[in-house]
Amino acid sequence: MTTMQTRPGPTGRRTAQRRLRLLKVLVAVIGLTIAARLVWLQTAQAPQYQARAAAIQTDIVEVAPARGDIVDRNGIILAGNRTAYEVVADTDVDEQTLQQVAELTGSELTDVQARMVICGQPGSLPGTCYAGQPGQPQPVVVDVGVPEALAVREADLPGIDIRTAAVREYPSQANAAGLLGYVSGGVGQSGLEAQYDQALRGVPGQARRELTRQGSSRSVITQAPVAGETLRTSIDAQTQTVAEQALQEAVETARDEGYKATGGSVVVLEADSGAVVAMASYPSYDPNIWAHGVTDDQYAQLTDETSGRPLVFRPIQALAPPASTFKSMTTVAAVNAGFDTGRTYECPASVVVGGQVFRNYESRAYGPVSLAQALSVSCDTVFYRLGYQMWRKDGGLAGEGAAEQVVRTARSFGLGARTGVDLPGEVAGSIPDRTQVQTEYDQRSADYCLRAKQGYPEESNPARAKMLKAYARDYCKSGFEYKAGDAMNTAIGQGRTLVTPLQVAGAYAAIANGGTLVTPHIGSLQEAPSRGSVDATPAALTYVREALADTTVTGTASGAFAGFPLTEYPVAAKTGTAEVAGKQSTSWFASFAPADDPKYVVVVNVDQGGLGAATSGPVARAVYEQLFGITP
Amino acid sequence: MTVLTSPPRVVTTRRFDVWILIAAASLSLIGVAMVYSTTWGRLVADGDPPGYFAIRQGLFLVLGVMAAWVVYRLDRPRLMALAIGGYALSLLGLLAVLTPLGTTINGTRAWLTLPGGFTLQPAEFAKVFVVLLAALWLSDRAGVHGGDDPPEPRAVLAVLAATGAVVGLLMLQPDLGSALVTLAAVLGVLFVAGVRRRFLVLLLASGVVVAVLAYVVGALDAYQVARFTAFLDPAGDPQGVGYNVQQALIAIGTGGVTGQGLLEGAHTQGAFVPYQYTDFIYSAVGEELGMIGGVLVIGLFVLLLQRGLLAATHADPFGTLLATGIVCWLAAQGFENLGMNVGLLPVTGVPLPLVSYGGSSVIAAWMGVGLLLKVSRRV
Repeated sequence: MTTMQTRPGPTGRRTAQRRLRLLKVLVAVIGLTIAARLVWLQTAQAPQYQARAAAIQTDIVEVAPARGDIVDRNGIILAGNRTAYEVVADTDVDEQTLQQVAELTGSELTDVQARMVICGQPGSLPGTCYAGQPGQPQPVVVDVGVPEALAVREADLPGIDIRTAAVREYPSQANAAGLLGYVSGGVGQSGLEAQYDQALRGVPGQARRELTRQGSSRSVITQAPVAGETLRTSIDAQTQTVAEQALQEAVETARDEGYKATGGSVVVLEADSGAVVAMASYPSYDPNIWAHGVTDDQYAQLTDETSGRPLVFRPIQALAPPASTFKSMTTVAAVNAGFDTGRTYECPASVVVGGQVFRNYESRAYGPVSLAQALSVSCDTVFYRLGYQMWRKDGGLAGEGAAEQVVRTARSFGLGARTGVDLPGEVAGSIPDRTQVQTEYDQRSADYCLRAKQGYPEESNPARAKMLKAYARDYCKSGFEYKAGDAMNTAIGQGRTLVTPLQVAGAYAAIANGGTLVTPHIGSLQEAPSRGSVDATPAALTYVREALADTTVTGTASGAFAGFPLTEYPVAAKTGTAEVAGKQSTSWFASFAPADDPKYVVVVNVDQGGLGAATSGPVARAVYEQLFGITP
Repeated sequence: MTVLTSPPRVVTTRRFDVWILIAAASLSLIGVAMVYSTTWGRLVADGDPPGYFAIRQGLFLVLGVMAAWVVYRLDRPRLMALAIGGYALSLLGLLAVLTPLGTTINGTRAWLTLPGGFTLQPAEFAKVFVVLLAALWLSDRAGVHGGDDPPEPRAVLAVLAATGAVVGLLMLQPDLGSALVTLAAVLGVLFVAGVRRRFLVLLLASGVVVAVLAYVVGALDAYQVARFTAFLDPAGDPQGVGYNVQQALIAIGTGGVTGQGLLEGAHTQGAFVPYQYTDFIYSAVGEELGMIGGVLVIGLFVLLLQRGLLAATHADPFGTLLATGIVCWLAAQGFENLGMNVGLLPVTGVPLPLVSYGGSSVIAAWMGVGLLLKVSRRV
């Protein structure tokens, strides 16, 4: 400016100077404006942008804890974890990339694509569809081998990554599928997995994942996961394996002999503690199928009647009449009711009550026998008569305030009620008494009385329709009555009595241990509190124990135990052959050993498997050989 | 006696304005640091040395300072030769990028591939040479007549023709940002050269008409329109162009007063802001160096521009127009870049002079700095 004042230039120069001043002001104003905007963004607006940045940059993810192992009493792992590799894809991966993934892993493109579909969307397949958090990378090939995983990683396809996943594995020889149950979505869904889910699951940790726009991320674990506890069980893996194999062989043998043998159970308990040593169910299935989701087809297989409904865990979920195994309880009931164990009872081929003929099923006529003999040879007619006499004593049809000794005693042995075993889904069964018959009648009579009038027009077989109508008419007229036949059938474990194999095992444990109704348990080696004492005198129990010891020597199971070292390891047993309307008989074998100082209870049943001794006896024998280390 | 008849050249000193050098060098060094901060993570992830881009930027800086030294030393006739030769080469380059020799990046065909993994962006150099030509031609007449009258219409027309050729070729790439910056620089030269106000208004009005026509006829690419609509409503398209602005704002907003620290900005290190080492490098400055760093960069930039204008004030007519042109070029480009980073102006994809990564941009900017230093010697 000084030059301008001292040496005034031409007008052009003045214009230039003026316009340059304007430019200087403009530069300053724009600079200040931008600076002001910057200050505003970084002070007043900063909290808002910081919150938005945090939402974009970070992402709290759950860190799954390792699921606890389930081990047997010796620490052998029944259910453990292994690391599986899976290929995961971002949701927007194109078909060409998926095709490359399929090629690298040797899988079908359609299978890979099926896993991209979110469950519930059109075309989604249960067990295959994606059930996780939407927007997260989805597994498209599960359980790939290490070479395939490496190949995918090296290919470095966009939106494709390799992840590890913990998958349940079953390293022991035992199958135990129904006992262990399964895990889906990280949650135990059945069996021990469900019962002890909380402890097994552990506590999930948290990780803060810092994302970048390229999709890569680094995770910082902010809270470490707590691994699930190891569940020690009372199961003995070897005994479990033997029980499973013996049961399968028994089923196969029965089928060779023309029986359907639709399913079976083995229960092995410690007589004093109720600890479950083994519990097998047939048919079973491969538990590994749950690892990556079960398809519709697989699920149908698991629940289908024709495949024997492998998902049903029969020891606690299959109901059947206990048949002759019930006679031990009838014997105790008779003693409770005052019948003399010192005298003899007639064992004819049949008894006739009210014009109805009740025949011996398993045994022949023996003439006069002691109660003990009646038990070991399983003479039905002796027990029919006992049942009838006790029914008469209760007042017959009237039965106001009846003692109902048989039902009451059997119930005190835990039959017809849940045992409280530490497994979900246990069923109760029932032993109907007078009150229950009445209640049932009140509920059903309207239906039956209507049918008594209208018949069964929808039934195509006229003979069957006629029979059904006759039954409806009878039931309508006298269904509320607790008839002599009901009492007699109950006495031999038939009729409407329904129990589970585990209930029978619990009842026999009480006989074996001197009257304590133990609570069967698996989840720990500590004793679970017992369910109290059974309704039996020590003398009565001793009497029954001694009688049952004869079964394997001279009674119904002598054939199945021929050649077994009974002097060293005496086995007390009761066979049973339950009759179920319209089906082949259910084979039962309830036992404990050593008979003089019982340690183990072994109960076997095979649905539609024929005679108790022939089909189920050998299974029990195989289990005892394993338990006592006997080489056959 | 000679003293009285001598032109003002007599008061020449040999010393240039050191503030111009300090401001330019500081911005360049901040640029190298920010280029490192915004690229090292991705380079490491790809298995490359983390300093790859920063070292290249440093190399560009050295080349730029050498170029500045060369133009600083040239006298007027040689500058004329350089201007004409450089302008011709720029036109050839701008034509070449439209042929298969050119490379398209982000929708703009602006790059020529050189050996060694380098690319050349002729548009950056074209700006220097257009400004140089305009200053030479318009000061020619002013020099003869003592700057008494507005420049001769012939010279103005020549300048407009030379500018129009460059701007036309830029619009073909299309590179709207560089075209506007070039226009702004020339407009600044014409303004200070004394062109009548109504002529300037007419020029601006015709520019607006051309822009509107281009939009109506559809000569602009969809992405350029999108950039403008995204500016008007940044939240409207969060995944597209608006995303870029939003991420830049988030990065700057999280910087606060003191910043997250160099290499410590989560948003920058997470590479959430696209083009964060080129056009959006200021967002990284804002996040990692905070308000202090951000205001410092603006301050250095304004210092450079003001000292350039100061040099223009005290220079001969040629120096005045040359410094004005360079200041207007750097101001238009720099303020547009800063403005789009802070969400005040639409996104047009121009680098922040001296700071953003890019060889052509850095070398051209330093040529501009060299010319400013040259003009500043006459105080």
